Amino acid sequence: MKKQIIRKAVVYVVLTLVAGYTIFPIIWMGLTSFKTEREIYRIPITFFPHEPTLENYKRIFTEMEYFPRYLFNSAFVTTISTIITVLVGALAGYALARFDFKLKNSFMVLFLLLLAIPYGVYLIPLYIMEFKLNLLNTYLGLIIPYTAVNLPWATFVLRATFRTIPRDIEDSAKIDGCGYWKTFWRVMLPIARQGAVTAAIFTFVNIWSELLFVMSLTETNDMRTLPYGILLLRDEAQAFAYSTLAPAIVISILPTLVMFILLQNYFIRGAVEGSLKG
Amino acid sequence: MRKRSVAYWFMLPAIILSVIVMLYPLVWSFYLSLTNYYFLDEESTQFIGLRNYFDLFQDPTFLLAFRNSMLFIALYVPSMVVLSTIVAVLLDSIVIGVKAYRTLIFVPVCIGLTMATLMWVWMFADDGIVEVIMTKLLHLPPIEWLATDTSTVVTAVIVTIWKFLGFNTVLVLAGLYAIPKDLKDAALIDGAGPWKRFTNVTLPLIKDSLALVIIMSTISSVKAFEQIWAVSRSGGTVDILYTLMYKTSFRYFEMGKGAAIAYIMAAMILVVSYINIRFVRTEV
Repeated sequence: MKKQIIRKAVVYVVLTLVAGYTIFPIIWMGLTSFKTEREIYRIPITFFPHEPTLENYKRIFTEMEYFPRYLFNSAFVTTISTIITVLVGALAGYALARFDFKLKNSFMVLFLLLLAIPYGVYLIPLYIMEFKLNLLNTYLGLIIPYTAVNLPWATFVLRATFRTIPRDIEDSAKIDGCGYWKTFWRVMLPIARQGAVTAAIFTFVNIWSELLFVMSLTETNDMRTLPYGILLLRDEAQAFAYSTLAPAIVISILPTLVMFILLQNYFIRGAVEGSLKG
Repeated sequence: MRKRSVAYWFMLPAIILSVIVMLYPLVWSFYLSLTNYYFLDEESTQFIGLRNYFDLFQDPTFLLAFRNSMLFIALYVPSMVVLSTIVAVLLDSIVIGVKAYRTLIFVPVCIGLTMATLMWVWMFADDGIVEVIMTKLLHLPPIEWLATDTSTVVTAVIVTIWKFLGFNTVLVLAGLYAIPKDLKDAALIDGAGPWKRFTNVTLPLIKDSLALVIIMSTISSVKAFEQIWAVSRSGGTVDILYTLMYKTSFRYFEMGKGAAIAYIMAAMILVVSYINIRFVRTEV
C-alpha cells in the first residue's frame, strides 16, 4: 500500500516537472513583458516584476513603426488563407470520402507525399514563378502557397470527418431533390463542421507562425508578417532587444493561445485524427 | 450528371492548387538541381547532371551542415520516442488530473517555432533564468548554450522537443487507449511486474504509434529551420541543411545548388518513412 502511494507521488511529481517545462517559457515571457527595461536586464534577475508596467506594450505600438503593420498582415493573410484552405479541403475531402474514381488512390498517395516534403523543395521554383508573374511581395503571393501547402492535411481531416457521416443523410437529401452541389453545401458541410474547425485551427496556427515563405517571397517591411517582422525587430534593437521583443512575442502568441484555450479538444482530436486516419 | 465526373469537379480546386504550388515545383526543382542555375544570370544555365550533388559532398560548409542535421535527428528522434512514451504511460496510469496535465503539456503545439525559439533564447541568455536555476539552485556549472555548432543544435533540439512533446504524447496515448483492457488485466493476474507488463504487453501493441512518432519526428527534424535560424541575428553562423539551403538559394542565388540541398533533405525523409512503414508492415 505504502509503496503504491509513493509510486503515485513519483508519477505526479514527474508529470508536474514536464508540465513546468512546457508552460514555464510562456509564463516567463509574460512576466518579462511587464517589467521596466532596467529591471529586465538587472543582475541578479527578478522573478515577478517589481513595478509592473504597460510601457513596453505602448512602445511597440508607438515607437515600432512596422509592428502594427506586421500584426495586420499576419491576421489578414492567415485568415484569408485559412478560409480558402478549409473550403477547398472540404470539397476534396468530400470527393475522396464519398466517390469512387480512377485517380482516387493516386491523389491520396500524392497528398501524403506532399505532406512529408519540406516546403524548401517547392520554394525555389515558386520564387522564380512569382518573380516572373510579378507576385513577389504581394498578399496573393503569400496566400496562394499558404493555401496549397496546408491543403493535404486539411483534406485528410475533412475526409475522415465525412466518412463518419451515415450515407442515409445524403440519400434522403437527394430524394428531396438536392443535387450533389446543394447536398454538399446545405447538408454535408454543416454536419462536418467539427472537422472543418479542426482543419481551420491547425491551418491557422501553421500559417500564423510560418517563417520561410515570408522571408523569401516578401521584399519590403510593409508586406511582412509577425514571425519575420519580430526577427527584424530583434536585429534592429540589438543588445536590449527583449524589452520590446517580450510584448511583441506575447501579442503574437496570444491569438493562437486563446484559440487553444477555447478549443483544446479540437486540437487534441485533430492531432490524432490527422495522423492516424490520414 | 455521372457520379465519376462529379468527383473531379469537387477535386478540381485542390488539384489546380497542388499542381501549381507543389507538384510542378517538385519536378522543376529536381531539374534545377541538375543545372548550375544562377538566378541573377539565367542565360548561362547549363545542364550539369549530378555535379551539384558530388560537389556538395566535398564542400566543408555543406558537410558541417549535414553533420549538424544528422546530429539533430540523432538527438531529437530517440529523445522524442522515449519522452513521449514515458509521459503517455504516466498519464495512462493516473485517473485524477489526466486532462489537466494533457492540456498543459499540449499548449506549445499552438505556438510557432520562431516565437518558441525567441522564448528559449531569452531563457538561455547569459545571467538568464536557466543559468540562475542551474548555478544557484542546483549548483551546476553554467553552460554556454549557443557557443558552438553542437550546443546550438542541442538548444534547438530542446526547443523542438518542447514544441512537439504534447503532440507525440497524444499519439502514443491514443495507442495506449486502444489496448484491450482484458489484455492488461490478464498480465496483471499473471503477476507480471510493471516493467515486464510494459515490455511484454504494452510495447508490442503500441508499435504502430511509435513508428508514427519516429516518422513525424524525423520529418520535424529535417524541417527544422526556425529553431536554428532564429537563434542569432540574421540567421547566424551555425547551419543545418535547411538554413544552408535558404542561404545558398536566397542570399547567394545559387538556386541549382540550393535545389540539390532541398532534394537531399526530401530524400532523407522519404527513406526514413519508407523504412518505418516497411518495418511495421512486415512485423504485424
